[in-house]
Amino acid sequence: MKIKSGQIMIGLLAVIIGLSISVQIHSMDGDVIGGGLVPVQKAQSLAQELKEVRNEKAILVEELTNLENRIKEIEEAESKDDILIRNLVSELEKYKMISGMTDVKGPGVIVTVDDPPKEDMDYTDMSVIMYNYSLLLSLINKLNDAGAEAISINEQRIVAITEISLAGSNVNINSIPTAPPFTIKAIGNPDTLESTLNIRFGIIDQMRNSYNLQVKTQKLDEIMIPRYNDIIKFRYAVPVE
Amino acid sequence: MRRSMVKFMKIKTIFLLLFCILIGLLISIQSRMITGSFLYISPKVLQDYETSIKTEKMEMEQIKSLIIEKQNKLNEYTGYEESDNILSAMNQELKRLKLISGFMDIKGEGVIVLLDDGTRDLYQGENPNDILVHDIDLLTIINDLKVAGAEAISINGQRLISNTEINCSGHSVRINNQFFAQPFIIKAIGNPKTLESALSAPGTYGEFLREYGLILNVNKSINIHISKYSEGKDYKFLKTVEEGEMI
Repeated sequence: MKIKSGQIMIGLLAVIIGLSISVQIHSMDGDVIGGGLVPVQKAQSLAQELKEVRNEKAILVEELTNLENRIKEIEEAESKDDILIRNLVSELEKYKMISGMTDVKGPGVIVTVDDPPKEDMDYTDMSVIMYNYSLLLSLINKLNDAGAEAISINEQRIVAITEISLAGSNVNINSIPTAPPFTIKAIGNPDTLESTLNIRFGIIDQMRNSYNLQVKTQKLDEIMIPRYNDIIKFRYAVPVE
Repeated sequence: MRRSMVKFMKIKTIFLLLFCILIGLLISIQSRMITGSFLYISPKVLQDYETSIKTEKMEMEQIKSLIIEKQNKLNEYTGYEESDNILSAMNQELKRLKLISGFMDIKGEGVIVLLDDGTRDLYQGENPNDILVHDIDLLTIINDLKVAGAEAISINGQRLISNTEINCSGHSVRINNQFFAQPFIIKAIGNPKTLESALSAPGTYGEFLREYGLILNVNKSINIHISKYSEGKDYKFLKTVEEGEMI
């Protein structure tokens, strides 16, 4: 009798210890991607670094705007008494817009593309949309076909030489690394753009049904699209006079 | 009988004590994990942070080079008094913008690519689409060329600019609002070796198309001429963002 009651107690303890160990292990097991957990401190320091870098960038952008304003002032001052320069200024503005060198705004659509919900994902490290980045090429092409006048992906303006490439764990656009979710902004007739994308068996249908991606479209009256941020220099191509 | 009963009670209380200590320990460990710096997150979050830091840093580099460029331009403007020089500086800028946006004829070394439907027989029950050229094939080839550093590209004489669409509509393909059928002749200016290997190396999309039976020939050339985008460009919806407006 007395041996038995001791055994019950020990059994109970063993069960509790087993449970607590399994809970502990479970919480260490982590997510689908990566496996294992890392302390939040590291993330906090990274967040801090990101904030600093963003501040630094904002200062640079301000400097750039100041310079551009001064250039514009000079151009305007000169164009007051010279018709030739006035024409040239308006021509410059036009081609700056075409080549993607100015921030632009207008009505259009915003499309958000994200990986399938986590519970649906296979146990792979690879992001579906990153691996099938040709879907993004196709999406951009469809937007252009529907008369989009300016497009950006994750704030990267699409210009004539814009490439999309898979590089390690990122997708490079304009050689800038980006990652999902991808936000595609397009300026144009919102109704045309939206229904071109959402047509049955169209590109978004394909993304949703064949790849299980989460896609959202949104029509807006005003969207801002940033300029192309780099200097384009041709090394092989020369103009024909 | 009575003695054994007392002994049993003693054992019971000892175990109860042990049990309480264990629960207390567990609770304290658990609560320590939840508060403050002992929280845990998944590595994905860290990776996201690292990516955005990398992105911001690269953008900063680009903006720095833009600032240098603008300073040079400002010097050019303020360095001269006469309006003649401002005129020439502005003309130069206009030329540069036209060059990079595809509004100027261009020449240089590069590759000429011929892409055509396959001529092999179909397998039993095979879909004819397998050996036809589609818009996604063209898009991927074009993208591969751009990744390899192509500076200007045309398909069947149509210069590709930022708004160029490639619309596969049945038997023909519409590019810059003009209709074309196969074969597709793609011209690209850039480093010929890099461009060629972007379409011919094992594992590339070009190789994949060739294995499917499509015709894809890549020829290097030292003198390629690509004509400018031939239509006008008028924007109906686009407006420049004025100074001071926030994005």
